[in-house]
Amino acid sequence: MMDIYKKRAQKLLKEKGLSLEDFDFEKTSSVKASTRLIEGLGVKIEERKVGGSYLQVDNNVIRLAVAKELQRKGVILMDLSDALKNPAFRKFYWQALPVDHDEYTAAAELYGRHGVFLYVPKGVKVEFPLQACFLISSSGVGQAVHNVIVVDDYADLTINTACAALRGEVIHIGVTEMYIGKKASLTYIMVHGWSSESQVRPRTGVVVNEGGNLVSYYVNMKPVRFIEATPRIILKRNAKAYYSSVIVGRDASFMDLGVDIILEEEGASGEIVSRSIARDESRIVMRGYLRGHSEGVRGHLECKGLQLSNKALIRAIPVLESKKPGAVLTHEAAIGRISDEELYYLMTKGFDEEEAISIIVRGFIDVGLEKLPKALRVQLESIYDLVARMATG
Amino acid sequence: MSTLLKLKNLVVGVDGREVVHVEDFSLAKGEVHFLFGPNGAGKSSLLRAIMGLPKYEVKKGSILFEGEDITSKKAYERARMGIALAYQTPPPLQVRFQYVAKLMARKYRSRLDELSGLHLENLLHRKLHNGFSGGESKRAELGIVLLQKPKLAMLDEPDSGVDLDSMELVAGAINKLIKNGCTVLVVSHTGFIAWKMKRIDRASVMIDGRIVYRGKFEEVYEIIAKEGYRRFTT
Repeated sequence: MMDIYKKRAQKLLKEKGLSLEDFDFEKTSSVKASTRLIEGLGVKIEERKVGGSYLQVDNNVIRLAVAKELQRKGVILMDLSDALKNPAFRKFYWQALPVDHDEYTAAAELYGRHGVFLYVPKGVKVEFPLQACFLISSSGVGQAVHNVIVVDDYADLTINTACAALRGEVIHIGVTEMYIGKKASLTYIMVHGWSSESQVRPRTGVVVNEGGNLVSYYVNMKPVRFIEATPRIILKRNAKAYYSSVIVGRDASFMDLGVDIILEEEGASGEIVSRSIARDESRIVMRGYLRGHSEGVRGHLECKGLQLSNKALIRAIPVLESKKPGAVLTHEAAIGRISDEELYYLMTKGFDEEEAISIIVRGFIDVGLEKLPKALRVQLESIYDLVARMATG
Repeated sequence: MSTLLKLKNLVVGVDGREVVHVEDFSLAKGEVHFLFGPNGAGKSSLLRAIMGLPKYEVKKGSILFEGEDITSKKAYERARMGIALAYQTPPPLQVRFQYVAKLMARKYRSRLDELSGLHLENLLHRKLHNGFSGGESKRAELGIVLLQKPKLAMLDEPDSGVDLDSMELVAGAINKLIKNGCTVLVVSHTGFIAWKMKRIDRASVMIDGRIVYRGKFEEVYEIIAKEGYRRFTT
């Protein structure tokens, strides 16, 4: 059965005439510097007040732990390759996203070594967030991971994820599949901090079942050579999704980021809120798709870009698609620059130009945090403070 | 008393038009000064030029602060030297008041308690000056001035468009500045706030960009209350 996926992946790569063997998927290296890097992204690697943690450096799993209390409740955190030995878990594999979705999903299947399998049983509310970190510590490393997250019916989970590279020319392919059960809820925070030579292709598929709820925050704040990702979220009957992203383009980064929400069944609703800040010579493409495939679905998309450099580029691509009458889909998109009036006002209060821009950026990205519980709100606020400093410093 | 601010032969231009001509004007340390004048007289332009807003260009003359020529200094440098301006109509910002207040407190080593007398609790989580009422904006501006612990506080029409409750709070903040020994320059065309202020030393009248009269506050106010600005325009 598992070979089917390998075959489909190989077939796709062959059709495209591609090989990813140039990248060394075997390399191993140290943890300490990587830990510092992750903490620099505002994500604390610590045992206390965390329901569980997963740390992968290059292609080695360094830590895999789940709090005892959660173990008792049946929460499972294990390496995906181990999880696939169990047929009950295997049924989730490549179901939220097809293996031959593109060459990167295929590569993850063929070259991937590890990844997280996380399962929260029916009705279990996980009080503390679980954290997962994926690091690439040295040049020439290719990291392909495949994560599967299952939040069963009526369960509740929060995950903090950070992905980062220390230096050099690296490639990261991260496949993430998420299944949110009936009336279950998942809050997902993802912070990216790649190196300026990184090429990153995350591929994410989410299925939110009847009455389920996804709240997702994505932050990307460091220079990257190339990143391209448009997670696909499928919403079943009365399911909800809120997807927020904050992106800072620096140096010569090329960032093509967005989200694709499919409102597949009646009563589904989705909201997309994105903020992009382009400085230096960066190029940012902000994508947002809202597809109404059933009656009585609702969606709203709001994307705003702030241009800080005359060599940067922002392109906003909001797409609304309706297949059934009665789908209510709206969008607003705007790209602008910092107003002189605001800038000068802050300068008369004693802030130099750089500080004033940083304050304005902080205001620009300050959206949607009220959806989070206090502890997470505080954490994300400090990440946003960092983003505001990154936008100028 | 020593001089804090001195303007010498100052000509200020806005969009190519000269709007302020002040030959000689000075404020002593700790002085509380009222600047009267009809709408459009150039009072706000004068304050903005002293503050260093780029649009208010000093064409001629100089601005001295504590004896130092600050004419070519940037606005943030002047603010850090101890000059504060409470705007008449501040621009709406996207950032929360609380965030700005915290940064100001850190920058000027002041405490957020400074805001306590202004009833700003319900405004702190909101975006600064964004959808604020007239009174709320004035109170927020005064709060920010208090956080700056300035040597010179310039208050642009602190009493215009303000409800009575806010007027009391604004006056309370001005009196706190006075008590702290801050030099205060208030611009107003009505003078309403004057009656709530603990002390006013002198007043001037500005007409068409020029200071045409100076005297004790009571004396100047009496003329304006009786005759408006007629006497100064003829």
